[in-house]
Amino acid sequence: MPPFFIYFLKTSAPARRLTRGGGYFTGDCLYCIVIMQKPEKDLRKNIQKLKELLPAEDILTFAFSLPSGRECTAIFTDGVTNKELLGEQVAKPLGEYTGEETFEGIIRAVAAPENKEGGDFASLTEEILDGNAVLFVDGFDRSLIVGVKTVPARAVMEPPTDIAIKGPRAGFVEDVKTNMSLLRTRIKTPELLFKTVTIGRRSRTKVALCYLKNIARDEVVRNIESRLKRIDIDGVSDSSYVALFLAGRRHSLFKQTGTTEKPDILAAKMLEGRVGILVDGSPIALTLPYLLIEDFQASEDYFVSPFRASFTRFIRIFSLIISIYLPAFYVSAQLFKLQLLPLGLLLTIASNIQGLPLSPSLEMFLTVLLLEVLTEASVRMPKYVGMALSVVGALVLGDTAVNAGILSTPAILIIALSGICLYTVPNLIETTSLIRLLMLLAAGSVGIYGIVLLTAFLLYYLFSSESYGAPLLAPFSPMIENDLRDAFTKYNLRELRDRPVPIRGNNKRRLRDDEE
Amino acid sequence: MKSNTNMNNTTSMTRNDKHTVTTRQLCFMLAFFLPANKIILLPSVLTQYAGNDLLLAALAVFVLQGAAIFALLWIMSRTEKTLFELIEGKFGTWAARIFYFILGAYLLFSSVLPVTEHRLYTQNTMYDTLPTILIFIPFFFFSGYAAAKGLQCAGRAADVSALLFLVSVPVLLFMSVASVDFTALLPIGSAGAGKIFNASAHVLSWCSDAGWVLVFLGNVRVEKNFLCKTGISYACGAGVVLLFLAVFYGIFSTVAMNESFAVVKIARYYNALKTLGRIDYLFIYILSLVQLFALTLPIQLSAYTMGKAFNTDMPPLFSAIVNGVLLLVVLFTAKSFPSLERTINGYLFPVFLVFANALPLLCPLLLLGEKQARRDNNPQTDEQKDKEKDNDNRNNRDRKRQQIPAGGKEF
Repeated sequence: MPPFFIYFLKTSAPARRLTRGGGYFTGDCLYCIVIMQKPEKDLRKNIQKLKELLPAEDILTFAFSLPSGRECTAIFTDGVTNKELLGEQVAKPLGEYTGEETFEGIIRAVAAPENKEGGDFASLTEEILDGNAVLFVDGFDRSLIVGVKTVPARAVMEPPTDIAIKGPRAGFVEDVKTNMSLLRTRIKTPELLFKTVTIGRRSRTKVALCYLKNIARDEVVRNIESRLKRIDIDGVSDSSYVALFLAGRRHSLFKQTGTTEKPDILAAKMLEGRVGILVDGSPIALTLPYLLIEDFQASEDYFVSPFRASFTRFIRIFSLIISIYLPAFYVSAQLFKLQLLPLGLLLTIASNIQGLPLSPSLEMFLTVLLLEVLTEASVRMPKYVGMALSVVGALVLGDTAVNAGILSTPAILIIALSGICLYTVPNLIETTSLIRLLMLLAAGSVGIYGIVLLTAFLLYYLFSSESYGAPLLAPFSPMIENDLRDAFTKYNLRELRDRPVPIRGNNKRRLRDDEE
Repeated sequence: MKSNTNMNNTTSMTRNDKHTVTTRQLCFMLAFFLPANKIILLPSVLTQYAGNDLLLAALAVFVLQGAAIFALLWIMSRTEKTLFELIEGKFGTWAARIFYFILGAYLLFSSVLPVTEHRLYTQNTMYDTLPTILIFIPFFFFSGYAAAKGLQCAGRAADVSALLFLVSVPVLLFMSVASVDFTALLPIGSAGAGKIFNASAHVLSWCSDAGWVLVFLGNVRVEKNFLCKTGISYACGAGVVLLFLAVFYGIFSTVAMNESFAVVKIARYYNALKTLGRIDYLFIYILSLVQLFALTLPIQLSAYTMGKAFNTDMPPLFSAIVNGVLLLVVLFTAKSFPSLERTINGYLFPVFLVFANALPLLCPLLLLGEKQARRDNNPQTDEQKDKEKDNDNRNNRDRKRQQIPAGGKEF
């Protein structure tokens, strides 16, 4: 091959595309040449080329012939392609086909509802790896891609992290197509659009961007799409990988994308104007733009009375404050400001901490660490060991440490309360448990002023944080009166007429009340 | 040639969202930032000079300050130009830069006493025993971080402060109201005009809010009824301070001058505290957050104006410089607050008169000739303007009609 032709291939647009997006053939120019070619009329040569491109053992060929004796071969991936369907929808009808032997006639004869004509070998390999079958017919320099993909997937069930007493129970699964269909069953409008992007040089993971046209902001959709397209990574194991690339701040203390495992929640968020991101292989959908308040809003809030919902929201916010500040205030009160405690309680604490070898801050810090270790271990351990672990945690470590005079009862009580309160807002646990430790550190070293300063610092950090143009602390800061109806308190659904201001696009209204 | 340079500079100084606050946020600043740091030492100092006429002394300063602030608010409602642009338009870029440098220095200077006061206040409210000065140093980390952010963040801080203020101050006032004897404030005017005037002069440093409002010229999104809303907010802020002063004097009466850190002390006679402990402290700590934000605002504005003066976009650098200077001053005056207070309030109060009163009152003069200049730049007749307005209205109406479906309102 003349050198200038190789140079042309290296620099031509498709070659560049291959080295960036589909880059598993990077640098190998001859490979590029093969992969950019289109099928030939000779069936054997086509099979051979594909076999060279896909040498793995799970790439199988299925040869059969038309009644006239013309040879056909389907190439597919074992385990991902439904062989039964391939036989039923492709081999059987073609084996009985007696019509005109043109490629169009063959396409019409194939009984699969999902099929399309193939292009170059690059697209063919991609389709085969994706689970579809590629059909070659001898004498034709064209190919047919037949959608006979089947993915071993678990059933749609209630997600363990998002259990609802009232309301829908279905949760997302790992298959992106199933998740898309779960969403489609909830929003049956042509305005629901999906844009699919393939990410991961080697994993070739399908990522579906879903949004409601005219409701989601166009610039947000464009921004997310361009960010998704810019992701250049070898593999994507979970949606959290994608979340990292979509985050505005690379090193952020707070979450920057919303997450949900339930299609009803995703649908509701999309109806508010958010964009959903479904990642193949992950049951957790991402939502953008993200507001901090949405982690305090449970799906049940919308299924119960507004009074009950407001009360539970207050409980969640109050619990979170308790879980973060209680250990820190206990330490700083003991170390710097005893006046904070009523006399009776002060005497009780004094009798309990008498003779303790550790300082209050170190004692509390150790207890928090112990709780974190226990939590981490109980998540990772097999279920049958978990029981033993809780016994060890509660009795041996807790009770014995108090009896041995290493830890005090109030410290364990406070940490237990703090630990329980933390789980009232499960989506924020990663952040809040870290902030709790920081608060303890500030309280132990600077005292209450440290707590106040750290709070002010965190607030300022949040003031300057935005998620795709939506301020993270909205609707509190900047204050948006309309959106406060679904923040600390939850108003009656009929009063939530408008979509949230920082998220919505041009379409502001979401309900029309006849009594207006 | 000169006008070209001006034009270029003006373009580079166009309104930046990062440095813009909304009308509501400015209102919250006036209503909640303004009283936050005036309820620490101000009440006892006022009592010291004016006795039971502390309200009259405070009222006099608030009226004076109110006039200055109103003048600035009026300018905001008339023009979108920043103070820098106004000075630049009248006297040239260098004059504007020099003025902004001086204004930045003034804002830094005006922060010295409040920061030192805040240090004493934290020592008193948050520690049983006197802690080392090093405890206060983290404040400058926070202040440095905040000052490096745009004015938009200050506006957002005002939003949160509104919630925090409304949670804390009413509760503190409620806890203290049972011990108040308002007759202690009578007879009104018994201290005499001289003492009241003297008291007012001594608290000018606390009531110099027009100084920071100056920087917000052109950095506020002006809404409908702007003057009314902001005016009422200022009145509310001043009203809260006056109410607080009344409650404070009503509780402590003749010994009020010895009761520094008034906000910590007014609720301590509340009955439930005996069984619950000093829960009033929790509300004081919540209020401390508002006080921190209010305290940081002039520092932030100082860094901002310095940045403008040097025409560079390096907020962290100016924030570090401003906070570094402030830290040095606080460290050097750590053990001499009374003399610092005497020097600033007794001898340097004319500085506040100039920057927080005279200058804002003179600012409307900068608007003279603005209308003519605007007309020269945009030679449109009134008829043309009316026509354009009509066209806009018609277009808006048509657009709305297209968006709204036949069934009713769009959703």
